[in-house]
Amino acid sequence: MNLKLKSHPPSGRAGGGLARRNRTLAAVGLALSATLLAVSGVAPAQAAPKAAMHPTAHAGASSSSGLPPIKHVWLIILENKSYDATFTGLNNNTYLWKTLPSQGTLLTDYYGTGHFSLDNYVSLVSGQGPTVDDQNDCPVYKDLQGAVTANATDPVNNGQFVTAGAQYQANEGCVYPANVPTLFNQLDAAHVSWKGYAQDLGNEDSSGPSHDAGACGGPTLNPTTNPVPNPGSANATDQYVPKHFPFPWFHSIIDDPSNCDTAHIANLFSSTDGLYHDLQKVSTTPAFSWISPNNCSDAHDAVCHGNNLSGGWTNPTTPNAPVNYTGGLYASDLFLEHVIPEIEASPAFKKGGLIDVTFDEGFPAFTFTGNSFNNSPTDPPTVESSIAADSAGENINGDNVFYEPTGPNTPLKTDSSGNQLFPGPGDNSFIDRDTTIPGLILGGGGTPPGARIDAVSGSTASATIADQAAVITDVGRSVTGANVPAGATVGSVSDTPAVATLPNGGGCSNLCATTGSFVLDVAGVPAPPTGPVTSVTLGAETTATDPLFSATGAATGGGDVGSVLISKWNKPGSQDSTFYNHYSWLRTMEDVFKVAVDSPGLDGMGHIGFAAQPGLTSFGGDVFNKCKACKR
Amino acid sequence: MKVPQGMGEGRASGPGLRRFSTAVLLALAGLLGSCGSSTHAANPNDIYGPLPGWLPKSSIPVNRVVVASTKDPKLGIEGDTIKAILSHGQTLITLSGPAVPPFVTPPPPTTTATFTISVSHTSGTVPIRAIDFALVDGIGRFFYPQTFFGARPPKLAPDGKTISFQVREVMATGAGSIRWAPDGVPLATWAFTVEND
Repeated sequence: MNLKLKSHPPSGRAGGGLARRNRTLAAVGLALSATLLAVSGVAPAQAAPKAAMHPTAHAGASSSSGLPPIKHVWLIILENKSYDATFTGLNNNTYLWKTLPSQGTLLTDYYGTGHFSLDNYVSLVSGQGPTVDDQNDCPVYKDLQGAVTANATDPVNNGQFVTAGAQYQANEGCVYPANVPTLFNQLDAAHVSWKGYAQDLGNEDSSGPSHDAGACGGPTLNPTTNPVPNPGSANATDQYVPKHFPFPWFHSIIDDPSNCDTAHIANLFSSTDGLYHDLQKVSTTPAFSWISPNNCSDAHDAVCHGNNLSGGWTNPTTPNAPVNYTGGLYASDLFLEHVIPEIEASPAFKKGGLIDVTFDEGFPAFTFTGNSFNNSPTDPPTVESSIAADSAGENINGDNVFYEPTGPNTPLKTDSSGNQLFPGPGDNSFIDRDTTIPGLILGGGGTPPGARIDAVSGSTASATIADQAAVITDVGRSVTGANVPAGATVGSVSDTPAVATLPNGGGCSNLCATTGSFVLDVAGVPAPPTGPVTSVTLGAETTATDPLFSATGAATGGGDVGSVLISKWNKPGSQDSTFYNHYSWLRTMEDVFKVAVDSPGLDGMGHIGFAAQPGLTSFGGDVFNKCKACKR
Repeated sequence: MKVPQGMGEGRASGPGLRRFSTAVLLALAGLLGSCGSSTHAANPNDIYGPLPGWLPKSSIPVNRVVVASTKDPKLGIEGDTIKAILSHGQTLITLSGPAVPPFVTPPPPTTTATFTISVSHTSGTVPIRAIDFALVDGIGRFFYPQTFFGARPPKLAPDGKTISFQVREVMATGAGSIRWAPDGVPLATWAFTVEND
């Protein structure tokens, strides 16, 4: 840790008297904020200049804010698993599910804000909704073109950046201009120390030039004049990927070189600037720590390109060679089992620390049943089910909606018939659209599937046709072929998994089919073929028959990912089902560290972007359920 | 239980070492912290090492090899080793993957997913059939591999030997699972995510 942090002990902000002062300043800030917005259109938090670290330690937020006096926060963000895949018992053998929730509070309805990765990281630290290239994880690292159009008279805008040119145009860039503020600018203004730790950051690449040696983990020092295709992907010696680290995506961060120094950005396992080193003393521990595991340890890659930490450790900062390359939740467990106890052993954690472990998005965003891998006997595998399953319950501008806030760059725009024209936060993934609708932009969506020929086995003895290729979404498709009765369709498909794949079994009986088949129906009645059947053609699906088709439904967004919070204010083993999302998390951090004093934000209470949206709340007494003074 | 080293079996062997190492390191750190302040008792909260007293001690076993039978099938994640009790035999079975082709931009919505299955410590009769490994994607679509990918394994798992084999399917990206039903009924399911970005 450098002298800067040593000489300026980090912690949260003062409570008590300062809280009263905050309220006064907040009122003043609200007025100033509105004035700034109306006059200049510049986000108010950005108006606060970066200041030197405050020389005195601050106490945490007071309970008057509904928050306990948290002094240090560590956020560990993992990748691409829905809540059902992580915290429901499917994953019943892991440290993530077995141990971590037993130490704190599990948020069962905590949602991502977009799909794919990068838009979630952007929204977490800036409150900005998705842009097209954010959704696509930034094909080319270059500046976004456009402007913040914060308008105090527009309650929908919420300080969002609007890209230039036609809506939903790809290759528009990914690096936000300097007038888009982040949590880190707010922390700077509030004299609260922060640091971003990334595993493998700065490692030599085994497959060519280093992608991540630039400023703050970005691929170049200057995205304005030096665009870089493919900002970085994992390889054998460097599994760091910039899209999972929020710092290089904002000029408000990278334009100030001091933001990228070793006091602020470090390799997670550096022996001189890494997490373990910094945890040794309160004075060397940043008040806020962002922790991005690499593309293996964050559960992203199913088979890792490099070390998955399976070989154990020589010392706290030196992993041994791996004994296998398994990724996914297996690898994230290896990471968490090492890092979480290190944090918990630190004096900073013991004196008012909060650990938060979450995921960026579900992949896919939805589940049908409360279990990603079992089709429900009651919920059909349709796009409507997926949209309902992703119903984030967001409260936007006072209204409960079934989608994440999208912002002006990926609007949920419809035509006069209600047809969804833009992909929204989910980039239309997992949804089929009608490309004949005028003005439709398909995004990552699909179209109804065409005809398919299956090798099958059937006879006059039964209406059941053995078909290894039959899938649940085939139900309703027309069936033609030799000895197939006219007007036949695919009836029920029997290979839907049943109780045997539920935790602890519960019996299997004849529901546990291991071969595919479907019932040949005519007008909804089982109809055996008129002779032997060896091949059938399933008709092309139409917009009327394709269960994954929707013309009017919003694309699913980030999905329920869950979150675990561990602190002395969280009752071990507790759960909270309040709806939260990444914007709620940002709002919570802004409240914990009382940034409003120096960065009034859009609402005068220190909140930026969609974190300032009306109706959104930060974590409160429901989450910090051992904090008696935190009840709202 | 002796568990061999190698692909897909680190979960059973590695974490114990990791936990031991972490515990030792934390204890040492605590001792060193105490030694440095031997003239007056240090507040445990002021030093690096001991875990806070309010943090519950974990009594839940993690990273153990779970036992599955047709009456008690088990769910796991890719990388988990499962001790499978069949009607006429038993084995340790581990699934890892899927391995996917190198990254291309933009990543396609489907990709070739290759899974590696290892069996070891087999006794009795444990059939190995591709059709017994049913793949399910995130929206419930089933895929039944008709053959193994690459070298074909023996029809029965050999006693006392470790063998590995693969199945491959083109699957949509996103969550999925693979289900093993060696006696005609599911015994174990591993969850995974197909990622190609």
